[in-house]
Amino acid sequence: MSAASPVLELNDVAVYFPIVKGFLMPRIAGCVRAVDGVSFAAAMGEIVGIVGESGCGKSTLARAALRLVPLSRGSVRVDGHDLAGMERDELRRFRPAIQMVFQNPFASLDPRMSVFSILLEALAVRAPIPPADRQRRVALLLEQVGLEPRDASKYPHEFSGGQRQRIAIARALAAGPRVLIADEPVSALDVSIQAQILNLMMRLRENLRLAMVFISHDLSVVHHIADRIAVMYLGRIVEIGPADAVCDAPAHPYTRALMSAAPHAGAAGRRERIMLTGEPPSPSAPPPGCPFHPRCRYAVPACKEALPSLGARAPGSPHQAACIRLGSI
Amino acid sequence: MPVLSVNDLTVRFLTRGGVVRAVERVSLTVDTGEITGLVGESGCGKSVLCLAVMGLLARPPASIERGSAFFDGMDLVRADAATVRSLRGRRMSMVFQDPLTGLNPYMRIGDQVTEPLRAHGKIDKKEARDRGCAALAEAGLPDPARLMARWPHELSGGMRQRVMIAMALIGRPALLFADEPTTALDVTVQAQILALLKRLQRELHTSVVFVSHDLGVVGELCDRVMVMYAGRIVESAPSAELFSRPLHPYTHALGRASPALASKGRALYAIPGAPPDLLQEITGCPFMPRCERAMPACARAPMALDEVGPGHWSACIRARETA
Repeated sequence: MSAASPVLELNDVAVYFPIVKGFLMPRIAGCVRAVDGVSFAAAMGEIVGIVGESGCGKSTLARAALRLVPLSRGSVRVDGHDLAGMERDELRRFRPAIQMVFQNPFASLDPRMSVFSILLEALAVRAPIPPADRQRRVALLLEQVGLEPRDASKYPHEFSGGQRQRIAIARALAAGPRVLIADEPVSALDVSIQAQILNLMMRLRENLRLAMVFISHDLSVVHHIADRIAVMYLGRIVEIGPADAVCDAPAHPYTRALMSAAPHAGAAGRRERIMLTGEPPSPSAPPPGCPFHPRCRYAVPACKEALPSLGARAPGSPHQAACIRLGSI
Repeated sequence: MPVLSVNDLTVRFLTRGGVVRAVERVSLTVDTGEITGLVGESGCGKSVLCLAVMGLLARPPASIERGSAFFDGMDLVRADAATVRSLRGRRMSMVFQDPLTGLNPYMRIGDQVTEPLRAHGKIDKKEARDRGCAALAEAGLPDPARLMARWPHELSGGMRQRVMIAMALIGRPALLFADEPTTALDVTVQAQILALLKRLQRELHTSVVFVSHDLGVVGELCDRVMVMYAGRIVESAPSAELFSRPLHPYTHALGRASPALASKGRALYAIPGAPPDLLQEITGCPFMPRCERAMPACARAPMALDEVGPGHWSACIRARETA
């Protein structure tokens, strides 16, 4: 996995949503900084996990990466091509390269389309498929995700949640993407079904060498599947690094609290729990300085002064965190 | 001393498509001050079991075919609706999964929290208010006096779930059903709610039946865990023991399928097939078609929990081989 030529590269991506007040004379009263200056890259065959709690901006980040929401700042490069600057037509032609799998497989498939037409529609985005070829191409896709070719004639309601998610993954693969973005793809599924989908995604990464961004609120799922993990808080990445390092030796106080809050079944899991008090601040009025300082047990007056940027934990280390007290806590 | 003892409870739903066998001959006891976990995947009957005991199932379509549920010296299955209603919110109560739909959007928090008190007889305004504030404070909510005047939409998910817990506890119930109370919440908020339940157990000796699909949460919180599959309890054991030494193949498979317990990057164990169709009558072990250790006798053996170790019950006929 060479980091030299990342397939997906996000640079200083920001998404601000305006807050419009007033009905007859609307005016912009401020903005929600849903994503604020996020940079990371994913190489071929690499899975980057993104974790964070509701409202931290992880889903908005996913949408921004596909330019489903307009970027307020920054660039999204896929194989060096910047999506942020593309015109509508150009973007349309380019989008097959970056595809998405959504959380809810009950909502993301059209109930009135057969699996065959769902997949054919996605296949034909790139180039029209000659009628003689259609059956075979759809069957191939279904096989890739562990379904039977005869499933093509069925409709979404005939499948269970896990199977529907397989169809959603097949549809994403139909376009022949280089990058796959999965937003909470297993959150709606039961443990045993979740395992099947995670196994499938790991196999696809091996076979197709896709670059993947895997978004989840479930730390154990992300730790299991991701090579690197980025932790988001209030629209920013507060820590990023190799999955094991981030999970086993978290550097940022927020990551530490998050990891310690994760429940553990085993008796060995009884360790100190860092209880966070209060709620995350509003992204429309973030506190000055480090956004985590009001809830941080290590906060010092200097934390209110300036926004910390990501710094390496040790010189040259790929494990980075945005905390001014990085070396001393 | 058991607070609740359920015996041989069988719940079915009469639908147009046929009879759904939601809960099949379930027996369990919940001791005073104990947190009992009920785990299983969607559709295994865990919520239906709680609703049946709480008397919250509409009959029809539901029908309790057999069995009893003794609470306060009374069989809740046979008691009339008015009697069960007089217990709900006072002697036993329930916290539901979704705090967004669990609260009435047209009622202020104060009215909502004190509703159980008002429903069970006359109470003067001042006393209701004081007890409402006390209940909110107990649930760990800051500034309860001001909160009483607010509306549900003004609160975050975690705060709403605490309001639901305050509402459930205001009548000082002996038994609390918590049906996936943290599933909709973030991990840091979940940790706060779990700590709160632990504290209530310790300080008020409330017995809790905690329903979840999350093995990690259940293992951490509960004293005893029961695993449900296809409407039946397939294993019951003290929590630490259940996870370190599962004696039913389904429990074992769940553990191997869970990324929290598996080794990183390795393929997870995927249980083959799907849970059985509850419209069909199942003879023998319901897990047999998906079980790695199945043998011909499993198809005929009647499902029964067998004590294979001290306090450790399993419904697998081969459990004794590994015990």
